[in-house]
Amino acid sequence: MVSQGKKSTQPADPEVLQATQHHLRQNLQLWGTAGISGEEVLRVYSSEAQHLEELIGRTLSLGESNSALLLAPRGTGKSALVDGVLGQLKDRGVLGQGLVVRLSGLLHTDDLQALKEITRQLRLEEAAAKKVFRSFAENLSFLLESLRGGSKETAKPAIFLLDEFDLFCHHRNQTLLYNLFDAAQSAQAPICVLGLSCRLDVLELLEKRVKSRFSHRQIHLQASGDFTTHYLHTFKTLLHLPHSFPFKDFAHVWNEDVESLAGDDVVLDVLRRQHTTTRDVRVLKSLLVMCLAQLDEGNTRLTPQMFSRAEALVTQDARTNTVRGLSALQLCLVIAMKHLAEVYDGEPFNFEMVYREYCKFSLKSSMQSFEKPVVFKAFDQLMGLELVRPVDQTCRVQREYELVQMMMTPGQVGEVLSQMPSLPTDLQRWASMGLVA
Amino acid sequence: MTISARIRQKVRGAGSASRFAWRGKPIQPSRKERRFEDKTFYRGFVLGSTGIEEGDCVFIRNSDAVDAEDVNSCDIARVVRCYDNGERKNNNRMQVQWYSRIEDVKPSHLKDIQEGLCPPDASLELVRDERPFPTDVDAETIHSLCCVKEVVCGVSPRSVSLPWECQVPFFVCRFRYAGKRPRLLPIENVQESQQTPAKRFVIKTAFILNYTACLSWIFHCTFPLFRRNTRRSLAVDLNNIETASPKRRMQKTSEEEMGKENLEEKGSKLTNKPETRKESKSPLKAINRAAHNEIALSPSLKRKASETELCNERKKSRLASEYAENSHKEMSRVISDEDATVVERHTSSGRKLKILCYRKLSDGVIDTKGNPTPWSPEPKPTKPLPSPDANSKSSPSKSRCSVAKNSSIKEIGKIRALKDNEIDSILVSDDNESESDMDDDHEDKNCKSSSKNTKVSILKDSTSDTLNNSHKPISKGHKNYSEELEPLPEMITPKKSKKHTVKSKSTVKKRFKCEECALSFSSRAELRDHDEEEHDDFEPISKTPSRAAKKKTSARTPSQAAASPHSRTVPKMPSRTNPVMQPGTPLELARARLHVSAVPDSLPCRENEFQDVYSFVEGKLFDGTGGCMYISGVPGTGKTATVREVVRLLLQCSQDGDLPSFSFLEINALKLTEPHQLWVQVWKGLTGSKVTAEHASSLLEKRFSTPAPRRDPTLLLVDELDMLWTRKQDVMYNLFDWPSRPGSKLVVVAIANTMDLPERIMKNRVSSRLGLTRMTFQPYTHTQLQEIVTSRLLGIPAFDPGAIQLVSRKVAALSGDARRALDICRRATEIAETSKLPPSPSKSPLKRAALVGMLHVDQAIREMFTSPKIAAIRSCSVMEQLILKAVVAEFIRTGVEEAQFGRVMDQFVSLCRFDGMKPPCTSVVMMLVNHLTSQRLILTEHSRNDILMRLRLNISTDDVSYALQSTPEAR
Repeated sequence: MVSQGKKSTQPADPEVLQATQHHLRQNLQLWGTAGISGEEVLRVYSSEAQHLEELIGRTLSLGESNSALLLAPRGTGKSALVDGVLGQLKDRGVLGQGLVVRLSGLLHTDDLQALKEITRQLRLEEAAAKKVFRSFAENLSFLLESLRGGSKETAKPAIFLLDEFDLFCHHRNQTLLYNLFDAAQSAQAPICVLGLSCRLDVLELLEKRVKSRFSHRQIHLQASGDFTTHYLHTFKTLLHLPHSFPFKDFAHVWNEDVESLAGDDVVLDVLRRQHTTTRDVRVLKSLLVMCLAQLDEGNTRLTPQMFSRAEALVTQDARTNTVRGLSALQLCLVIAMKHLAEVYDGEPFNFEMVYREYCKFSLKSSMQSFEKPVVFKAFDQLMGLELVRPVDQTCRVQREYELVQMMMTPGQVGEVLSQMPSLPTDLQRWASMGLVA
Repeated sequence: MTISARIRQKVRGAGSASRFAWRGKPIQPSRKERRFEDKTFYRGFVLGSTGIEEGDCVFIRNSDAVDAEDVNSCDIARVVRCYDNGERKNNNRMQVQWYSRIEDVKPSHLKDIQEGLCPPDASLELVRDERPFPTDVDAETIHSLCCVKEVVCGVSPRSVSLPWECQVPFFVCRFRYAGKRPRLLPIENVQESQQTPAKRFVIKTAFILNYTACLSWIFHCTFPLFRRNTRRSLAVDLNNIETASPKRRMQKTSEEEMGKENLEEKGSKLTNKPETRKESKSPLKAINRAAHNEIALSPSLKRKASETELCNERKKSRLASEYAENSHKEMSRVISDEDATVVERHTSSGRKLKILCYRKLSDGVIDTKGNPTPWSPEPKPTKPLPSPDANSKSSPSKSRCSVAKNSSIKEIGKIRALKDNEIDSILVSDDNESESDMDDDHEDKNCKSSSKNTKVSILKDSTSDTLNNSHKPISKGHKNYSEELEPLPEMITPKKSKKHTVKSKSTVKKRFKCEECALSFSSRAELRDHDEEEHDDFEPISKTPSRAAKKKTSARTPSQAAASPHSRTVPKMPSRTNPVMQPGTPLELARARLHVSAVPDSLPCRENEFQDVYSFVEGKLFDGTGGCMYISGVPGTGKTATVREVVRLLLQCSQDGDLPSFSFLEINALKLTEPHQLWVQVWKGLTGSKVTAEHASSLLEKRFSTPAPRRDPTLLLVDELDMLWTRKQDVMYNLFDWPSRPGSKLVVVAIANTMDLPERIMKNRVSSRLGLTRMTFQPYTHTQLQEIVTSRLLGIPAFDPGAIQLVSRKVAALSGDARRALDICRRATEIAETSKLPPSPSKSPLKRAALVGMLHVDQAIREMFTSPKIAAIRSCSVMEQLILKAVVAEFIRTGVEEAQFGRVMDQFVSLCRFDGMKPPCTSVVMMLVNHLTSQRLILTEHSRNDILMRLRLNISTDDVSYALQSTPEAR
């Protein structure tokens, strides 16, 4: 359908290509949400979005304190949803009345840092300017006093977005959460505490008194399962060039291409495989980034082959790649270990056992045989690659006798070796035949 | 004086001499006071280098302040009575009349001040505090002297000129702070006090004339009443007599002068004054010149004597003749030499008393120069006194004085033993005299008739004179002074009998009437506690040179600076620009009422607990004692709300005056960053100042272990008590130990969740201190929850009662947490507002009309309580579901609820093949497993273990099978 030659006869404009890639990469970035995908998320999760909008809106307009948790697996669009809702509120002119405080459990790893960040984002620094906060206690009492100082009628509402909410639960005594929820449950400055987490059991992490203060309002985003309506749509949205794109003609052609790609069997196969694997939109994004990266001045348009190639890149196995780079001696050892694993059914073994297997093989084989220290060195390198791992690191024995385990199943090894065309025939035979008698 | 007190006095004289010492001999207690047999009353004492007498105003260290030595944090009081309570520790007590700074008055009360009066000047003004503070104070808590002048409320405090030569901080007092609900009231009895110095002066004059020779005459003739009191005896204090009058007179003179300056309407009385003074002075002169003999008598005796005398003759000139008449009585023999006078007295029992007196010559100063010597209470006067001749004469006697005094102490007891009869006879005639004094008042404005005034004024006189006398020695060498003063025997002042008290009260009233024109005298004595003891405190007022005034103002500045931290700005959220919208629809209204933060009018279903907590705290506050209470209960059962409600009511009560005022502190341990911050917060709550945790701990330790008279009881609410646990448990230990200390007045209400917390986490010594006053808040039952929700929704027809019942039963079955019930109801209103659920299927029109029905509530409950995991599994991708299946299959294969990743991988590959799918590679599967782990559907070890990583399911295998059976993909 999309023949590579038809329109690529035009001389590729590097400027256009650069602009396209730049724009699409903006869409495809893994963190944060671009406008298009935000709208998409709002469309898909419309009821949840409405709930959230009402919740935040009431805090902003009525001064009602709230707390809620937004729970969904990774890559379902929690942050995108919140951003979309905040955007809508901003359009309605309600958001301006409040302050948004964004915290992330990954960044604010303890309550002190979180408190400092809250103070900064609430623009309380002016009040704090005269004071130099050294201690955690001062920071906390300052914030609490600030919250206590405001009332429903007078104070600006604040919206606390706690990304990676589950990490905040691990803070000492859950002091921050207790105080935020407590403020949300008492007549203080109106706040809306919104936690985002992918952990479904995050409520169980809360201490009982913290839990009691939390309103138990949980909003679950369930990834829509339908392939054609949702996944394919997302795919098209992510690759869509907007009307505002400077090169209108190219954008038109590009969007047509994307439409036709969505009907292509090869592309559909790839996407379907991705869909059955995971619904995390980030995996899809990284696949598309791989495709985009293949565009160059010769190929200014996406082809189904690019998708196959990208899929191969995305789904390749790390261990297989490691084994491919090994030397012949190391491969010998890997095969020996595979046999040992088969014989002992995954029980640990030590270097001496591997070396004996290797010796047996090298006696028969035409391959060069090495001294024991050389073999040990090769074995050591395998350990460095973590293809082989010691079982119990606390035990102090001579390294030759240290018990180790191989980090690949025998099946994996056989598969990898069979895919290696350059493997010496001796090794191939040894790998496939089983134990050397 | 009891024997033990005497021994103690001696011991102290040897040991802690420089610190505290009674001055003079014990004085006769008033009749009321006589039942306290252990108490020994004195006229004054010496603290460090400061001599303090009854009637003086002093700074009293506030042990609750950050810096107890800071004058600005000290309390101010007037000493009313000093006594030794006969106990082993803290035995030096005094009765005081409190004054409060303007800052201590509630701002709302400041508004009570009438229009037209000058606004209170915080830096200068005090109010007389008549709130029921304990007035019994440890005398050693005195910091230094000050000067308080009471004026009528119409006078601007700024216009009140400083007492002459006043070198101590000076304050003006226009109001008293009294009443059941404390209010600022103008001081009514100002005018009376104006007369005090004058009156006192006359009396003093009289008694001075008497003192040498009239002893026996007084005893036999004028104090018959004292016969009744046989146990208490009088003491003769030569030293006090000796020092008594001249100084006082000088001060009075200055007062008069000042009064002239300030107030125009003195009228004719003023003109009389100088004459009076002259009259009274002349006999003194005569005495001093004639004899240089000074014999001390008990002040009461002196007073009585003077009154009698006034009553009989009413002429000042008569005094001299009286002296002459009395002097030839043979009861006592006066041996005088140049510096000191020894009085030998032969008592009826044949004992012989020998009393050494030291001459006091400052009287002569007035005579010769007509220039009163200022008496300055400052221990170290900065300039020499304007009476050099007097001082130079008196100074040589000093060294001998101290030596001789010890011997005179020993005599006191004997003297007292002698005189009971005599005293009684004196008392009989006493009652008649106050009225007769009235006449004197009319004759002479400087006379004050009230006998109670007299007593105090005499005491005052002796103090001032002693100090004056010793000015020189101080400037020479400090140590001399205190040594010398400390063992001075004290006179016994007979206190008024009840009968007498009534009488003098009436006298006071009469005087008010007749002396209205003299209102504007700026000096004043204070009338405190009319019913109890009629003490009119005297206050020295003298003209202050401008230099002194400057000094004072500069001294006052720190107080303003210290006040500033109180006014520091409270951090606040930025304020909003648009006003909040008000809830309009019934649903919005209901939602606002159902919010947990909405404060209900009443707390239904916690009446019993409320009653218990209330009576406990109220009782402790009433008694002024301390105590602990422990409240436990699962979250959301209204523990904190109940206690807060109790406190709210108590605060209201204390505002209404039904309860003593108290300070309330609420501390939530979870709002502290670490347990020791508790002290910081408590200290901050009590004083408003910030200190470090260790410092706060020691300050609080000091505060709660030292009793302070003016301390308000403290009610401390400690929430989330278990968070205060430390390894040493010192925080909890102190918290529960302090309430049991005497005088701490600390009531601790501790709240935590677990009932057996004291037994579980506390050491025995801590839980023992916590005591057994415990209370458990049971989780709410469904009827209670129903009542709570219904009471909040009163008047809003938003809810179907059945729906409320459903919520209540659900929540009661789960946790009994009222917050949950409210949250569910709130969520139900939202659902009712947005969703298009079919109306309630009920037939009843009432129920159909309800905006929130069963279905809404049910959906809200489901949203909150159903586990999201089944839904989460269903929304997983096919591969993820296959992995879950593989894990379950591996569990079934091995029979262990734990599987290695490698094995699961094998299962997974075969499952994929079975489903006809190409199995993904290990890396992808690992990614999927991590994805599931992040949702906590699967629990894994660290993924570093790779294929050896162990997997467990976070949900039951049945749930997985159930979820996967019904998924369309799995079918």
